[in-house]
Amino acid sequence: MTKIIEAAEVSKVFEGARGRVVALEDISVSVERGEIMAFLGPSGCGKSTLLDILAGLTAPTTGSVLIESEPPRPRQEIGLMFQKSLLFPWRNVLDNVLLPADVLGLDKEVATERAAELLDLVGLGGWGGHRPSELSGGMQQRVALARVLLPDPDVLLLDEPFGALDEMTRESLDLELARIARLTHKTVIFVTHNVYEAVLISDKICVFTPRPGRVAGIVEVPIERPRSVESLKHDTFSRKVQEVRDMITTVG
Amino acid sequence: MESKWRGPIGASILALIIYGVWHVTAWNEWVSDIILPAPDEVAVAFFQTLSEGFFYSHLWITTQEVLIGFAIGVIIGFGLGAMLGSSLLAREVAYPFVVAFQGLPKIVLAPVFITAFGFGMTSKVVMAAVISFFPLLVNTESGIATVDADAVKLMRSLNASKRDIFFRLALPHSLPSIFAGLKAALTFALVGAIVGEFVGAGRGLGYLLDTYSYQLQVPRVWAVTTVLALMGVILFLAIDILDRKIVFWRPSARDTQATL
Repeated sequence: MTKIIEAAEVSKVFEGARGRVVALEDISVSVERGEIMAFLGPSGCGKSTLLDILAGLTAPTTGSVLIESEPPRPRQEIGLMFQKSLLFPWRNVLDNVLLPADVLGLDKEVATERAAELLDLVGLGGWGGHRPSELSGGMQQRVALARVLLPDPDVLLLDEPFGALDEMTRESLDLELARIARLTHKTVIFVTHNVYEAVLISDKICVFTPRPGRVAGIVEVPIERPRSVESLKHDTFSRKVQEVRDMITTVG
Repeated sequence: MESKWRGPIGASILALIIYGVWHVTAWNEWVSDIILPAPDEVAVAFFQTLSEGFFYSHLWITTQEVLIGFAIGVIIGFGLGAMLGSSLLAREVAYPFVVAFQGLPKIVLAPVFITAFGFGMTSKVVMAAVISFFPLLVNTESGIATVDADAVKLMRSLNASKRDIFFRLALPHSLPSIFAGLKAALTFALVGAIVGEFVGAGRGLGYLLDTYSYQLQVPRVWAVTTVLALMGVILFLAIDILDRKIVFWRPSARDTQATL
């Protein structure tokens, strides 16, 4: 496996009205191609800031980041998804999935075909003509997932993508995301504050401590894929949950 | 009762009640007829007015003043609003002036505009534009300023240009608010044109109203007032139809409003 993301000694300091806030301090982490990694930590630990840095939306104060051997910048190879679906109500489901094609200027015909396939992939075949408001929260996140996949990025940066959903819906979407990421060979960084979700979905978990955000440690999760709800009963699952919890309490 | 008809039937009943109260009040002369003439007198005056050719030249003048003033106000208001909404710096610089202008009762400017632009249509057009650009500025600005920060991030992550972010995200997001601004601006344009005519004009419905009032032709005053009300309603409905067509995704009031 080769490294696709390498962050070395990254820190981020915000100069605000109330003085200096160190959001991230000395973060070094690397992600291998095709890996699913969770950034796990309580709110305010700077994990979303790190995601912004990886997406090239904000620059680190010090340190270096390389994605596919290049400094991060907004581009087709990196896809971003949020807790809110951010579907545009003036576009129907299919046109929402096609948003990246419009912005990036991709071939519309090819993109439309691909969008229909992706809607099938996320289990929403035939919903293309519906309005976003006609969909449940879980279905809206499925559309957002299809949208982020449309330009076929190598890296998916997901900021608590299912954080607003009920637990059962979230679990099934977690598993589906893992399945789709494997199927389409994506490298995934997945921000969450939910230990179970992190263990269920990841190959590796990068555990963060808050204020300033630092890496407490990295936990590997050797549960075989494809995973299912059965994986939750696995010995390894509960052992890993415990290991991660210990890491959080020791440092916190 | 079929729920679709509840509103219209209720409104008709209310109209009948208002007519009845008005009629009884005028009949018994509870209010002097140089203030409130009987409804049938107003109706007669209304149709008389509509049958006279010179009325239409006044109507046409006012209609032009309102529409041209409205159009200019809308263009300026939208332009400035888009600028303030898109740029934090512009917002910070312009904010004190916006607040000062918002506090000013803008009709006090009417005499100044009459002096500057004369007794003709120009001064009324300017008045209508000045008074109507403001709601559009505020609503455009606030519409753009309330775009979800994460939605902007999403667009930026796709390497979207400022232009893309404006036209694909900020503008459609702001349309509901912009249409609310258009409706307010329209009423203001009407006020601006009429006030301008009150202050100094030789033609227009405001001038006609002023003249009839001076001559104590009170039923005629109410007849012209009715024409102005109708004009306002028609223009408002025109914008409302556009609003429903363009902002098709807005949930209808029936779906979202709570009933206490």
